Amino acid sequence: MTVSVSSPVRYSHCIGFFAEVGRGFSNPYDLAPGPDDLLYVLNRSNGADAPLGGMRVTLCKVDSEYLDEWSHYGEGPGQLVWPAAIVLDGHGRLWIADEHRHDVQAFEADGRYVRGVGEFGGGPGQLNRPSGLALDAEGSLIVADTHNNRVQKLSPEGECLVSWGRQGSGPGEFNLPWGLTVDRRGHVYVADWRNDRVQELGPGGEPRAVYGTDGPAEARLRRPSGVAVDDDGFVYVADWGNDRVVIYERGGGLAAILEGDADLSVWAVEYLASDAATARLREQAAHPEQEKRFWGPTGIKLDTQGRLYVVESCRHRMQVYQKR
Amino acid sequence: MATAMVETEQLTDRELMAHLFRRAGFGATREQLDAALARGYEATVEELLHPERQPELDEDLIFRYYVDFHESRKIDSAMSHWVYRMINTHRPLEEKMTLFWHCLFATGNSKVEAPPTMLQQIATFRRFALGNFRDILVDLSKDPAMIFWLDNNENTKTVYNENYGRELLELFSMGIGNYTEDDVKECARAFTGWTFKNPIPTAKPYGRFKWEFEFRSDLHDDGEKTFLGETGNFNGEEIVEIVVRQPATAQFLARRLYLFFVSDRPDQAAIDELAEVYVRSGYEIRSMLRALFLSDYFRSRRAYYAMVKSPADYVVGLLRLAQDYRFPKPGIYDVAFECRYMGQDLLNPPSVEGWHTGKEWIDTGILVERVNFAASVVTDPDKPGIRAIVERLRAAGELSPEELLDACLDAMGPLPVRPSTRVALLAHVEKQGPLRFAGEDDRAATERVTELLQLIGATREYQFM
Repeated sequence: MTVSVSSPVRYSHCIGFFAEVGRGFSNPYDLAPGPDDLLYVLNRSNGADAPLGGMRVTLCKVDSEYLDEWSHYGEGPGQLVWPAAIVLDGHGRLWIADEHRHDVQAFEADGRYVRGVGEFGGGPGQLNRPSGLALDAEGSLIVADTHNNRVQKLSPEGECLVSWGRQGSGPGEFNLPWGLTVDRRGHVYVADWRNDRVQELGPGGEPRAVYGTDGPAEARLRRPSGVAVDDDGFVYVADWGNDRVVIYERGGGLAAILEGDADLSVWAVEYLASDAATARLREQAAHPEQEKRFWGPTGIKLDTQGRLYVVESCRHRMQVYQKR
Repeated sequence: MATAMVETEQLTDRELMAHLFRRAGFGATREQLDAALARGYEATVEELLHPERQPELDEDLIFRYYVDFHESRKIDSAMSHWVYRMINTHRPLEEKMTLFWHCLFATGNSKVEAPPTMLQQIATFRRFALGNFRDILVDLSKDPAMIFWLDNNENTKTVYNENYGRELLELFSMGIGNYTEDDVKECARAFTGWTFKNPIPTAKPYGRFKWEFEFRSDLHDDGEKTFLGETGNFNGEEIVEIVVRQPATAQFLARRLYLFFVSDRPDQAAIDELAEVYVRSGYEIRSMLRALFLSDYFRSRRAYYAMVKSPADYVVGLLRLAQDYRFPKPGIYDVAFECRYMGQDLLNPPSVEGWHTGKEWIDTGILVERVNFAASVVTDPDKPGIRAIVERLRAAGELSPEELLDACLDAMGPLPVRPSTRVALLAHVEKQGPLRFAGEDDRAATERVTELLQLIGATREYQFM
C-alpha cells in the first residue's frame, strides 16, 4: 500500500520466495542490479540453512528468470559468514561486505574470487563489522564501518583514502551505521541506524542534511537500514524498524510512504501450482492482505531503468517499483 | 500451621547472594555479586522483583544481526533466540519466571508447528511473569499456541472438546482430586468459541505469520453452567475468577513455585506460608516470590545447592559465567542445542506435563554431555569471564595449591565440595605445586587454571544449584 498523493514510484511486481538452495532466496539482505536486467541477490541466510547452501549470491533477471548461484558459507577466501551488502563496480566485479569476517571481498561476475580488502580493527583500512557499501564515480569503495562508527573510503586495493565520523549523535557522527549510497554529485547518504536518521554528507564528508528526525510523525524513521537516491533528488529509505519505505524530497520533505504491495511472484505461483495442499490452505487465510506488507526491509536499490528494488530480509523476496 | 523447616547454620552473605542469583536467575559474575552485596540482600531481592526498572534487551540489535530470530521461521531459531535472551537479560527473574511458566504451561512445537506463535507465547509469559495469576490464566486461555496445543479451537457449542478445560484444572491450577468430571464439562463449555485465526496458514511462499486470538460468539455456549458449586452464564474469564479463588489453586501454585525455586523436596509448612501470601495478596506472583526469597527456608543451608540444575540453568549459567555471547555472533545454535542434548528441548517439552525435574535431569549420557560442555566453555581463556578469572589469579601473586583450589571454587560458585571431592581436586593441583604467572601471557599457568575449572565443572557438586 502506498500512502501518498504524489509518490514518484508505482508498484510493478515481486521477485522471489523462500528456498534454502537454488531458485529462491534465503533471508536476502541486498542486491546489485547489473546490465541487461540482471540482478545479483545477496542471501544472508541463517544459522541453520547457511552451511547447507542457503548462503549464496543468486543470479536472476528482473522478469524472475533464474540463472545461477555462487559462493557459500565459510571463513575461507571467497566464502561468506554474515554478508550484509553487495555492489557491482565498473569492471563487472561484485564487492561483498561481511560483518563477521570484517572484510570486503571482490568476485568476478561468475563468482570467481578475486581478493579481499580490510581486516578486523579500528585503524585506517581496518574494519569492524562493515555493513553498507557503495562505489563513487572514481571506483572507490565507500564502506559503512559499523562498529567503528565511521564511513571509510577505500581504494580497490584496500588503502584508506578518507575516513569520516565517530560515535555520537551530532552532525557527522554515527551510531552503528548500516546502508549507504552516493548520488551523482558525490554526496554520501548514510542510514545512521541507531540514531534513527539518514545523514547526507557532502563530497568532503561535511554534514549537509538530515532525513527522518523531524516533520510529521509519519516522516520519522526508526532504525533505517538502507538508502537510495535518484537523479531527481528523491531519497528512498528502508525504514527497517517500521517495516516500510519512506520517500523524501531533496531537503527532507515527505514525498510518500510505501508499506508494501507484494503479490505472488512468478516463482510463488509456480510453486503453488505444484502444491495443491498448500494452495488450498491459503484459501483459509484470515488476513491475506498482511502478505503484501514489507517485513524487515534491508537493501534498497535503484537501477538505470528507473526501477526501485526493496529487499525484504524476512519475506525472502523483493518488491519492485517503477519510477513514474 | 507448622513452621517451615530450616537449618540453623547461616549462609555467608556471599553464599546467600550467589544462591539468590542462581535461583532467581541464571547465576552472576563476580562483579555482579560484588555490586549486589554492596546493595544488600533485601534491596537486591526487590530489584529482581521489579524487572521493569531494568533496561529491556535491545531486540532491534539482536534482529539486525540474527535475521533468523527476527523471522523465527524455524524452531531452532526461536529456541536460540530465547537462549540468547536468557544469557543477556538485565532482568534475570523475569526470564526465569518465563521459563517457570513454560515448564508449567508446557506447550510443544511438535504439534503447534508455528515457531513465531510459540515465541509469541513465550513473550506473553514474559509480559505477565510476575503478575496476577488471574490475568495469567486469562491470557493463557487466549494464547493461540495453547489453544491449538490443547484443541480448544475444536471446542464449540455443538461439539465440545474438554481437553483445555481439563488441563486448566488438572495441570495449570488446582490439581487432580479437587474438582469433578462435571466441573470439567462445564469449564469446557465456558471456553467454547475461544479460538484463533491465522493470517496466512502456510510457510510457503513468504514465511510465517503470527496467529491471533479470536472469540467466536457464534460458537460460544452462552447457557447456564454450574462450576465448582457456583451457577451462572459463565464465560472463560468468570471460570478463571472462580478457579483462582480455590484453596486448591493456592496450594498448587505455592507448591510449584517451591519446587522450582527452593528444593526438589516439598516442605508443606513452607508451601502453606506461600499459599497464604497468594490469598492475602489477591493472587499476586510478585508477592509470593518476595515472601519466598526473604524466607528462612530459602536462605537456609538446607536449600543451598539442594537442587539439580536444569539444562537451561546449566548451559546459560556457564555462558553467563564466561560472559560469552554478550553480543550477536555466529554459533549461538550450537550452545542453544546443548539444552536439547541435555534433555530440555525448549519450546518442545515431552508432553503437556512438562519435564520431569530433579535427579531425572541426569543420567550417564547426559552427565557426559554436561561435563563436555562445561569443559568447552571454561577452558577457553579468550572468553571474557574466563579471562577475568585468570586475571584475578594472576594479580593475586603466587598461590599455594590450596589457595588456587579455593580461588577456583569461589569463581565457579562459590561452590562447596565434599571432603572426598576436595581431596581429589587438591591431589591434582598439588602435582604441579604453587601457581606462579611468569608474565601476562603465561600460557602454561593459564592452562593450569582453566584445567582446574574444567575439573570443578565435572564434579558432582557442580551439577547442583
